[in-house]
Amino acid sequence: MTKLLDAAAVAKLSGMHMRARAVVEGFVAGLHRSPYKGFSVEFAEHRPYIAGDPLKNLDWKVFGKSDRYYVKEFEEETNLRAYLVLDASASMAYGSTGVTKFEYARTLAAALAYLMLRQQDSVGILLFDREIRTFVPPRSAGKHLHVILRELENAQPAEKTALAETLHRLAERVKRRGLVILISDLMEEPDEVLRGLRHFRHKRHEVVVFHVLDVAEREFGFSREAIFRDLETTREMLVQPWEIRAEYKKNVGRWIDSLRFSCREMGIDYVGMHTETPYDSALLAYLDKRERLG
Amino acid sequence: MTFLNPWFLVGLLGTSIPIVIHLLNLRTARRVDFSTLEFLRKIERKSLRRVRVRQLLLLMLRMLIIASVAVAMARPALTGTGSAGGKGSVAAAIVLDASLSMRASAGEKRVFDLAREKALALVESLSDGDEVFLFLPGAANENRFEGIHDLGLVRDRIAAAEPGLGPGNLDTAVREAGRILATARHPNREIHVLSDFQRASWAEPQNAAPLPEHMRLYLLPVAGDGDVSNAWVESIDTSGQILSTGTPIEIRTVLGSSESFASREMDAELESDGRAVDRRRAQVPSGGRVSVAFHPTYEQEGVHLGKIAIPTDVGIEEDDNRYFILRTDRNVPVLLVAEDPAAEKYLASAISPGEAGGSFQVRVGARGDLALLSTDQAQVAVLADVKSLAEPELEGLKRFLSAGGGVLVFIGPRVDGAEWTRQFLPKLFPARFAEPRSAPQGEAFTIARLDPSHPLFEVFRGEGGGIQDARFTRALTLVPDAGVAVLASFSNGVPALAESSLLPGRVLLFTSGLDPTWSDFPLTGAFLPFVHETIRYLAQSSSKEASSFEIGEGATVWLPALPEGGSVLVRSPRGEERAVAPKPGPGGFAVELSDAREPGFWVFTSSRGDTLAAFAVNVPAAESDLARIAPDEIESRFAAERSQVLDAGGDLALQVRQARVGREIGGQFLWAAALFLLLETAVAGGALRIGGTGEKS
Repeated sequence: MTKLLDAAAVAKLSGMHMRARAVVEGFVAGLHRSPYKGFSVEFAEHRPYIAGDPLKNLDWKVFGKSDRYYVKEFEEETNLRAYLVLDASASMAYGSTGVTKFEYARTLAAALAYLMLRQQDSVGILLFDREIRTFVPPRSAGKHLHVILRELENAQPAEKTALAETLHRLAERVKRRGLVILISDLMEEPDEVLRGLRHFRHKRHEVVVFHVLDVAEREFGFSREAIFRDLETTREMLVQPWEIRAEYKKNVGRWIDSLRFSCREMGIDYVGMHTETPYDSALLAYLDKRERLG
Repeated sequence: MTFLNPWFLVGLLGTSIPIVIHLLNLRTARRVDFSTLEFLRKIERKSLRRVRVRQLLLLMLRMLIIASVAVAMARPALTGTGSAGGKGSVAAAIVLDASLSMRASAGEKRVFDLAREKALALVESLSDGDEVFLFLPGAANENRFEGIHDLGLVRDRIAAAEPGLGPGNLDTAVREAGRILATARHPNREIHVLSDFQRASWAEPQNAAPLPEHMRLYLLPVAGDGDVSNAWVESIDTSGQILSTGTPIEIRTVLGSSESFASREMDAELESDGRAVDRRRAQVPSGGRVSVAFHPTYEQEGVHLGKIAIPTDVGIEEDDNRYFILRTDRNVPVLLVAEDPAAEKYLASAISPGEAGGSFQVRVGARGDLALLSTDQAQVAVLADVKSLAEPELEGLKRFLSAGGGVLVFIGPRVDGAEWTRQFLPKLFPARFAEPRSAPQGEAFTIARLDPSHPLFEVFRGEGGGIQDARFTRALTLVPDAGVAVLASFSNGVPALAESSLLPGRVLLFTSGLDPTWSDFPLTGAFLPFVHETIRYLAQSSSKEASSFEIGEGATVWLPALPEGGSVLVRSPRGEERAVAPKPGPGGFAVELSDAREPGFWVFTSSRGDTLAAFAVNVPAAESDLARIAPDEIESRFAAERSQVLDAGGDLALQVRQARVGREIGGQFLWAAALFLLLETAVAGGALRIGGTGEKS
């Protein structure tokens, strides 16, 4: 992996396109040493070699059998329709390491879009908080990336979350089967969230959940007494962190385990992440899913 | 429990610091944005009680840490004799009354012996490492031993102590003990007073202050209930008469007795020059006084050593005798100093008319003789028309008056009134001279008013004895101050004769003169009796116990001149002789005998054996009166809450131990503070050891 895949370093790059490209190119460079190959291009037929053809397309098996140069012809496959569902609620604005969850999430979304479009898949994007703020239907055209990245660029986290409701509405809206990639902190009632995800499965969609959390949300490593203010509700609470840290971590761990277990039960890929996790973990998870989808 | 540094308890206010910090933290708590409070709220609901209990526990532990340190600094100590109290080290001042009154017999023993036994019993309450200060107020020799750590030595000192023959000021001794103990480091600082609590020994000084804090005062009356019985010779008086040879002299003595003395008849014996000369029986009352008069006749002139004794077998033996010295003369010696020849002639003729066997013997002298004047040379000095007096002459007169001599002063035209107002009057006669008063031309004023009650004018009663016939044309106006009595006045209202008794000897001042331009008084028939009566009056007053001292008073004797060879010896009542070194002073030589602490006669002689002077030393009469002061009066004087009257009949050591400060437990409080600190760290530790990562303001 290249260091460009480091989340903090990527965050310093200006422009979503630059970030997405840096993430994906670095990731793809790493793939040469991995067992993963491309999926979006299907073999069509052989044709005789013409000077100027790339040597990598020469079919050496045919040459061995017939002593003639043939090159392999490929055709594009666009049977995968992916929906990137990105949580843009106020809770996503939290970040304790210099990168907010939202920054991390949209870079991840951009990278996934870049990778998908590069592999000729159709990709759309949906940004939501208490309601759907932006919806870009899936396309596979190369220029579509710019549309997606622009929307991501302009988005800012605000308002409360209405994740479950959004998932229900999106499930009703998307008729054709596809891959739904949810990137969110899932800060809502777990049962509601799971009900929304189950709705997708009911519609026979494939679902991948990238659960993005900040390390402070997991560890609660605050040392001083402070008044904590909820980014979504703006409610405040005086807390002595050292008094509740252990129980907090236990509760958060239990919550994450519950989500992971429920997702597995529903056949949903759950990928737990925090804002310092390298992006390639997410891309690998996607590719893994893509491979299983054939 | 008591505290040796109680002001450190102010530190307990510091226990409010954790509370204040807690409140301040609440007010200054930072705000931290966080994604959601849902998890916190669930925990808050679940563990609110546990968190609060823990916080309360931490708060209490922190307050306990501060309180423990503050209490430890205040040096707490347990009291009592129980094993829990233990015993703290002691700095003890034992004030063992060694004044004369402690010599009184109480049964078979002296009061001092009883006090010594109690003092030794008190030492039993002490232990190695304790420090003892021993005070023996009134003791004859060394009366203070400081900082003794060897209890054996303390016992030896107490066993060797003996009461003196003088007074002992216990109030001063206790204050001195308090001053010394105030610097001691020991937690127990005690003053033990063992005394008969005779009132006279507790003379309170001016500006008396309570004892320093953390000091206990134990009062131990050792003479039992009631006064010890005592009878004594209190005083001897020969004043008011001329001590002449050949005529009976009245020697008056006062016998005193204590309340517990059983009234009875006693024989008082007069001894003179070593032999008994008279004996008088008197009924000595219980707790009262009786006067006894002797009337011996002395045939030889000179100094006589006398003693009056009573035979008692109770109380203080030493006060059964009282010594006195009197000097008899064939004629009363008078020194006449007159700067006006006419006045000199008139006065010399009047004082000593020349017939044999006259009462007075006049010696005409110069003004300088006044500097060396002593009662051995003259009993009365007459000054007439003396312009002014130099400092040595004034000092000589002052000494003469202090020794009981009398002075008669006539003013005259030579007298510088301003100088007298500046020199003589302020020192010897509290008055001042104003402008002279003169009668109008051709007129005169007379003596118009006499004090009829004054013995001086006894012979002038009735028609005035002719003194009103004297005519005066001029006089200095005397403005008397307090201490001066006007005995006679002129017809113009100006004082004519005034008397001052500022010193033991008296001064009579006549404001007019004997010069013919001032008066015709010397030519009148009243002049001779006036001069005789005034000199007789002044000579009488010189016959007090001027040559007697009490032990404890500073005995200073003046010698008008040194004998040939200059060496002076003093012989004590026990016959021990030693050389003394007289110090030259104005008009003579002073000999100070601060160690004259033995009753009897102290005689100064030359190396050839000639007697130069003598004085009598007596035990202080005040020590004989054994009336007690109430212990609670002493307690209130020295801060009652820290005083305790011990029961002499009980176990003294136990009584003291019970009130004594026990073992200091400040160290235990420090350990407790350390323990609380560990607990606090343990309770708070779970939260403190987690680092503060991921914090966002």
